Amino acid sequence: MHRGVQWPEPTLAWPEGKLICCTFRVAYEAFRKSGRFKHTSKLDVNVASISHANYGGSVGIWRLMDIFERNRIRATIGANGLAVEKWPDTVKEAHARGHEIASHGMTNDYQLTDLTPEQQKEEIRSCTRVITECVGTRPVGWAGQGNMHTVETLGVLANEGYRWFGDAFDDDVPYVAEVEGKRIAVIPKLNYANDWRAWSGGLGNATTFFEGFKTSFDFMYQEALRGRAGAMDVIVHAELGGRPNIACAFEEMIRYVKQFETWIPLRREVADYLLSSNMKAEPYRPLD
Amino acid sequence: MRPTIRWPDNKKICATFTVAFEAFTKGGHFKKTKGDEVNLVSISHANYGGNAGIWRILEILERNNVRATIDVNGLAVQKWPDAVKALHRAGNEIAGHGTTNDISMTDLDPEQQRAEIRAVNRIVKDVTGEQPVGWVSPGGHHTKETLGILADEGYTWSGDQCDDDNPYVVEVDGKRMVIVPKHWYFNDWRAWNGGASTSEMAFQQFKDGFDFVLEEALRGKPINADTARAAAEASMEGAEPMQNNGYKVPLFKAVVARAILECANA
Repeated sequence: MHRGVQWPEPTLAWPEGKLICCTFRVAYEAFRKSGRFKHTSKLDVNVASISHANYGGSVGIWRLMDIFERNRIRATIGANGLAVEKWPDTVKEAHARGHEIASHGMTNDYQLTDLTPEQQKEEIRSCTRVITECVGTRPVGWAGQGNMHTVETLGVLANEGYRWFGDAFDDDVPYVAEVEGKRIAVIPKLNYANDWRAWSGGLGNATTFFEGFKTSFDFMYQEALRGRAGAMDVIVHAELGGRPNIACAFEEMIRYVKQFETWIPLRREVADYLLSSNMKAEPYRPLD
Repeated sequence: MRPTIRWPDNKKICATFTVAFEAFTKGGHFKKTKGDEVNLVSISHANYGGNAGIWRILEILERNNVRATIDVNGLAVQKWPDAVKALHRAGNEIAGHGTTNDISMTDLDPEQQRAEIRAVNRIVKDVTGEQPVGWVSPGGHHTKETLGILADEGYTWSGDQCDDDNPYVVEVDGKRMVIVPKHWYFNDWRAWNGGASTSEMAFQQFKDGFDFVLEEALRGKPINADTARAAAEASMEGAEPMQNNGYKVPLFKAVVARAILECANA
């Protein structure tokens, strides 16, 4: 089982003495049956739901790239293979602008927990191939659909050449795991700053979404000033956070953290930093 | 009529801070799914509690010089004994909270409940050297037998009841037992689960409730130096001075307290 990297004693520091590592991410999703909106088990194909999801590729992703450009940061974009196939121009453009294209499964209609390890391997290979064919560079990071995974998933990813895994939630900061004789960086997700929460919570709005992020960031910054470097991860879905009501809070977050001693890398760069450091790899035993 | 409680040193409110330190074998609170299969992402989220959360909380308690009651699953003690030892050493109370949150007391017959309670006693004692005297069931779920078994197993308080603000004493199986009711409103589960709620919203809800209870505690009290000072404090709650007039806040409090006392004596 994993142990806290920064507790009880801090063991990780960021490059150039930065206090907080902040990764900004986009979940770029596509569905064949039904998206998040008006989800129902009654319909086999929910056209209204798919229409809502398609906003991500037609508008949301462009708006988010505009925000990154305006604020001069690069982000990690976790793409469904189907999104890459539907909107290849957007993915090529994101790649050309220096954003990282990571794998997020083929479609969000199902999850890795629905698949056998053999099927998981096929799923991962399909995603790797679709992204590589589109942008010319293979993805090295994986965050699965709904973050669902099985005990076998990490080993399959390491064997398929992946360098980071984004479906763990057991720490604030990343760590290195050893699985199938290979080292892989585990970069946990902070689900608090997930636009899904702002979107699905009824009374959520841009102000509360931003305020919740800001108070968490401020708290962690105080911890960092006391000697415990921290990490924050923000994720928006092109379909949800690409809309103006949430995009404005997302841009506010980027502007806010840039005022401080913050490191804003791609997730691939976080993995490079950890894997080239002398951080000890821990055996991957998620159920101990 | 119920006897009224008085707190030691005539304190107006008794505030207890509780931490639920949990561990799961199948799936935690996050991304809960149906069925008995192991939910790895959910367990990963739950393990944050032992890897980072509990240490952060320990630091907050120490920084603010308060002690808390830590309701522990036996499995959390087995997984993170160092954290439980550090909490115990710092003077916090370690209370029983089942062996894991995968099991509810309502799933168990009375004999199984007794075995569950004894297992927690043994696990906690092995790590801290002391048996817990307080119990909070996973999810607060309990049966009509639970309290009697707890009393029988040497417990002195139970935290599963929600039927009052203040604690009270009951007799069960010929033994006296203190019920310390739980206030679900101030459960972080609500702040976490409710969409984009912020820490300010969670704090504001707590503050509104606390202020209301404080007023209840002050109402009908004789006017004396203590109550006048408390009223003066309340009157300036949240006052934020400008750059150069911070001295006015304590000044104003003193004026309010004196005015109340002079009116009372007039």
